[in-house]
Amino acid sequence: MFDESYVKESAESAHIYINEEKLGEYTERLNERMKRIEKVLDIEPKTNKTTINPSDRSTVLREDVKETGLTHEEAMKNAPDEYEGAFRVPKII
Amino acid sequence: MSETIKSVKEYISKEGAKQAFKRAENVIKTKPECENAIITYSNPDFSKVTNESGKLYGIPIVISDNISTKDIETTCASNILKGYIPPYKGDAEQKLEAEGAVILGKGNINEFLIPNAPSFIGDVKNPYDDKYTAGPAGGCAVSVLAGSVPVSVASDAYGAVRLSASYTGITGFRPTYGAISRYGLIYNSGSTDQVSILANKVSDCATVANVLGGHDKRDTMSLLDPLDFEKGVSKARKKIYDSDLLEGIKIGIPENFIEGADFEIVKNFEKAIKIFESLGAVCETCWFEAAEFSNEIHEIITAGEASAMLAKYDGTRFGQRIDSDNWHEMVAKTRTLFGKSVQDEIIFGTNLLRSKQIQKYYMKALKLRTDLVEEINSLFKTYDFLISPTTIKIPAVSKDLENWFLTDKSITSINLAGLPAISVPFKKYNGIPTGIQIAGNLKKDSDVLKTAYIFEKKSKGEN
Repeated sequence: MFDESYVKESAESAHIYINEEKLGEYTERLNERMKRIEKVLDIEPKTNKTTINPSDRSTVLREDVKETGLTHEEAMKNAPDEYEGAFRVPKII
Repeated sequence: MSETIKSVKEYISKEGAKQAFKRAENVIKTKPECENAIITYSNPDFSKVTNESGKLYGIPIVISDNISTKDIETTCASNILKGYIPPYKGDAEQKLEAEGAVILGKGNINEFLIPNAPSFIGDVKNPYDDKYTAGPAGGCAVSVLAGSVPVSVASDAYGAVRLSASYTGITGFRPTYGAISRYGLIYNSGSTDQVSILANKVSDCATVANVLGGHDKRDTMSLLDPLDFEKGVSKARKKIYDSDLLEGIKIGIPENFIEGADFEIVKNFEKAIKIFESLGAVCETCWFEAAEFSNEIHEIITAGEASAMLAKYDGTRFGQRIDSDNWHEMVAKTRTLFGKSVQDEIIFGTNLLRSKQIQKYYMKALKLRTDLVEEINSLFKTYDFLISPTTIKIPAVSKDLENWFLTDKSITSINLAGLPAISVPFKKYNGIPTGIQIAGNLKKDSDVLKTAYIFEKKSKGEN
């Protein structure tokens, strides 16, 4: 069972703001889910081999060939804001 | 063998693509059961719909809101992506339009398809009983059911396509992982998600799968050799292609796929088994040991992947922003634009990937996944197909969706192993349609489709 401080830490790692008043609810829900998966703790895998995805592809590299992408106009078309041909984004810091 | 598409095409040739589109739009805008089915309507330029010889000329199609469509808002049914208008076409849109199809709009889904996460515009009610949802890809399913479009394209993370098809009495086909490009798909569980198809008929699924299939270098998981969904006959099963029988076909019924199913669902399934047997197939029960923990490993892996894939929605790289005094606070507040269930999924997944937990849960789940894949491979040495009810329970009650979770081993096992599977409508339970799932081995998609086609024909009138 996780306590509220552990859940707060996880939420901070996940960059999700949790209102202190709601921390108890989040903790309860997380503990319920942990209970649902606890069955795996009792099973020993037969192998040490991991399966990251079900693909049988042995390489994911394509040939390094120059291709035409979006034109500048296409790339900018749906941008909420632009300045001198570049994306204008809100100030970050 | 495409049936509905053929009849719609005949209608279009008389009326024209624009009229057909208006009719489709009118259906979805006026039928009460289609409320919330579409998040964004497209505004197609019919002067560009010119490929009259295309396989899908003039056919209106709905695409789920987690697949990118050029100049049509694509939100994944989430507030965080509100206002995002892709400047490019995803592979699905490209291929559909190249064959003359017209995108009607973006089908409503659960937020990022997460099973218990309601769409930010509200969920799609089940047309058979509006107390229940129409499933995680409900907007796409209901558009087909209402007769607005003959086909929808959506993705099958968490079994969204097959579940929604089952709940609404239509057909949902998930191809082999990598058989259809995921370029443009905004996925959050990359190792289980796959672009899939919802349609009235099995044959329509096959036709559209052939349009969408093929290698795409823009998707690193794309199969190198294209599959032929309509004609690819494997020699061992040639008989089923020469006749409408299943003689010589051996079907496995994993007992643990049915565990916990409601009595009526089991009763319906037993009737389906009788149909398979009457077609000449040999059906026998089997035990799929690894499926005993498939729900748990699916939950661990998908949550771990979701927490990583959804990290980019931080107000800086992707998505909307809630301004604040400093960067950390801005990111944390921006991410509250995710719905409650998605936030839970991210926190749960982040917790599983933390150094204190990762070996205990996530890495172990990846090893158990190997066991599952190996066991399912050995099952397919004995059986041609595995069948089961698509789902063992009725859909989520709309107002209680946030407490719903996936409990179908038949769904989670197939997604973890990346196998082709189809849900074919068969009977009802408490007034809600139910489906039969037919799953095959990797790349045996055409065998799955042909078998489903034979079953669909024989079971006509049983729904």
